[in-house]
Amino acid sequence: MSRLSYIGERLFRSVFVIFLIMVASFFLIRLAPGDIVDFLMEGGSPDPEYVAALRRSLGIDRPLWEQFLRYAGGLLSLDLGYSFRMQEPVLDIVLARMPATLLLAASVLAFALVSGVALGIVAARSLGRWQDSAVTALSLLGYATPNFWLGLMIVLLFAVWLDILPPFGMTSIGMGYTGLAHAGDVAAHLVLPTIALGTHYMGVFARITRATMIDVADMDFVKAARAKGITEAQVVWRHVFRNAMLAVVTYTGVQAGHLVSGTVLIETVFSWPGVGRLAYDSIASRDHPLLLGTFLVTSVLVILINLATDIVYTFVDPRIEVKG
Amino acid sequence: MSEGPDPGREPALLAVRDLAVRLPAGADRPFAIAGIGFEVARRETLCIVGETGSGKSVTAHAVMGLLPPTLAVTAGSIRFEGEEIRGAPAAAMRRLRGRRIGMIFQEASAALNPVRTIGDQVAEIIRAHERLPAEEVERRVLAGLAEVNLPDPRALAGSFPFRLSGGQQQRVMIAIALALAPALLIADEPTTALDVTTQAQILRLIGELQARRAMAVLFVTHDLGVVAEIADRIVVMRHGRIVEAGTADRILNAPAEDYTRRLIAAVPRFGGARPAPPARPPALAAAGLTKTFAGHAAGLFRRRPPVAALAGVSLAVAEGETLGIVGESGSGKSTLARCLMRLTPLDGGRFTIHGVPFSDLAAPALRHERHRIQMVFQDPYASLNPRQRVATIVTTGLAVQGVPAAEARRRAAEMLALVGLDPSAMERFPHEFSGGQRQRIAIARALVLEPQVLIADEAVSSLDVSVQAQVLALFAAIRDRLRLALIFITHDLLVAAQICDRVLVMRAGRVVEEGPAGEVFAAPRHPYTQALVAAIPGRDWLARDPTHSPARPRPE
Repeated sequence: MSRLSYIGERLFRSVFVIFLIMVASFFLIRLAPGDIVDFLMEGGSPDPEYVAALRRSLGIDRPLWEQFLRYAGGLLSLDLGYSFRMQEPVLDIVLARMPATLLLAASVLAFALVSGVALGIVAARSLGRWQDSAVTALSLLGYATPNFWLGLMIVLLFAVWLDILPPFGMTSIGMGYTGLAHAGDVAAHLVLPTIALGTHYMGVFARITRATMIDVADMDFVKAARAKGITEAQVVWRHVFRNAMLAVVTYTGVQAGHLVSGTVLIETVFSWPGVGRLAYDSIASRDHPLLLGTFLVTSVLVILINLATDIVYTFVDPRIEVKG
Repeated sequence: MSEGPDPGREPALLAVRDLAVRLPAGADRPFAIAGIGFEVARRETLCIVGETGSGKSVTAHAVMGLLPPTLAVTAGSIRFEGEEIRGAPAAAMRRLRGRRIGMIFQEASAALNPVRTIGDQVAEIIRAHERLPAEEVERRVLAGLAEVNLPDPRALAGSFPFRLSGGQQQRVMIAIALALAPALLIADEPTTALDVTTQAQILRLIGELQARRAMAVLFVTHDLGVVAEIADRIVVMRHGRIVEAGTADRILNAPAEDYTRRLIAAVPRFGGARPAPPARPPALAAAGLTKTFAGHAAGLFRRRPPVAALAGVSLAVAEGETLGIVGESGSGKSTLARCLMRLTPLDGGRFTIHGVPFSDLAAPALRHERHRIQMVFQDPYASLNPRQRVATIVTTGLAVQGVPAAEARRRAAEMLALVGLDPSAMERFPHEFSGGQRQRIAIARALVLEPQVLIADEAVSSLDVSVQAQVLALFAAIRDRLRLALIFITHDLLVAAQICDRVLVMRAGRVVEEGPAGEVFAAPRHPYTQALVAAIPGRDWLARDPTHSPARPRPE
């Protein structure tokens, strides 16, 4: 089977997964009491007739199964519904927010991979010495620290006390930066949320790298490589590291879904204008179509990341046979 | 013990004196090797032979300077080409490794990096020691692969190790080890994981290259047959010490030490079979068994054709009889075992056990009847759950059959006694036992259900030869005592000859020859059986060995 038809088949199967997610989230959301009309009328004493008319115009007075069929039907033409609160089609809103989330996720992943793998290598190469203990302690601390708490602490340290990094948002308001200046501004805003969310994954990747490097270093082919008379650095780089990375690639795929859900909290803490923040706001305002839309789009994203991981895997491990 | 210098020989290529390697604290003895000495002359083959834990591999790795950090050389000297290399600086050892001393390993599949191409791995050793233009490196890689008789070196150089057979992988390892024409090749059990015909080819290849390159070989093995085939001189090791050393002829045919004599006597050989047992009704009868596995993907665009693991196999085994199933890897013998156990569904064919149509039983009835046929697996380290006590391991099957706990424990204790284990074994965990003892536990687990048929799938293959002899004796004793029908699956023709009444020779899912064990091995009719018999290492020595008596192996 070719790699292309493999991708095609995986995508085709993903459609069913997304359908199941859609069904489950549609009904689960409705289990929570309240709807957008309650939210809009909150605090007032609205005219019952007006409320009923509003519900009728939004279609949320119909039986649940009918609403579901209409929603599912809309999905076939990529219509994710309309957000009454934002006065815009859901798909447009979510897609507009997507780049910010992707940027944050990519930044977190890059930070976690580079620092985690580097720490893991250091620990594995100095097994049992202080560097190893330091890395092990640091990674334990990293993934045990709640990321929202870490986020607040580093805001306090870098933004409030030291005042060297912006605490909130994605750009400095009212500065009107363009070009390189704009990129630098966004990068500065990225630092704190990236550390807040990425420290956890850094710890995870450090531990995985350390453990697999130690496992691989024990294998026969590493001994055979030493028997060739190559240098220790070549043994570690060409033979140990290259094979240890297989586990890291696998784990990156597994963590992807986790990472996307992690952005909800961190985007809220840092007012990052991404899909996570959007999901949080739509829960608060009972904006069900918008909430469902964020679920669906992030599900698709997670599935695509996992597919990408599997494809990367077929390149890094020649033994993996592409099969259905 | 060290050999004295022999004035008639040229100076030794490798001279080891009083070498000691300490084991980490908490090991079963303080030293992995305790003061050993030997010499390897240019062009000669020295075999270090010993059982598990004898220190033979540690010796080989110590010479190469490749001991794991937990093992430290504490005393002695290793001189190579006149220079002391024990404790030599890392850079000096690196220049020696690969260039002057090459090494090959037991599992070639594990000794090749799975994610780098064959060509890359051969080129690596050349580049490590010589500055050459890329074309010259490539030319030498291809020449090296061609010299070990690998087909189509150019295509092979671009492929990854997992595409190669075990024999091809070991050829690649040899090409790597010999790429820079070292003066010494250290071979650590290089043929143990290979089929017997492949083993013969690899041994022949090493011999040819040794003669062509005027190279010395330090060959570590547990297999006295292999030793008889290739050794000029032999060092026998046990518990980290040298038991005796001398010329191959002297050690093999006139051993001075009792341990060596016992080792030689434990080697199974032809002629050990008992007289045919009286004809009895068949315990298991199978006809036309077939099983085909779908071909797995062979790359991005191809799919291998389906593999017929069983292509119409019929067999019968009587009460109290041992039927041997012999063949090389891929012959279908293990598939046959799993199908008879109903662990793998058959595609076609039927079999009965004492008249019960076992192959046709549906799930509930099958669970009820499973006790009729039991199995002992190859690896006693993998086949016992490490987190369960022996009592649980042995009684679980009885509990499934609805036997009350107290009764189950009583029967388990009885069975452990029958296989020669102390009753205190019940409360212990598998890791507290040796390989041979574990295999006894596995046998007890199978027998406690009072099976009518017992399948032993390579059940003695991973055991040392002396332990192997004891476990074989146990199988024979139990078979006779319980009138079991024993199906003994093995790749080792000598083991089959030792215990089997009749043998089936399998190849590619078919039975190519069948008959009484003595007849089949003494006068094989099928060309494949003839090739198998001809490939048995050391068969000439085994045939003429005068110290061996054809008596059954002694019990423990």
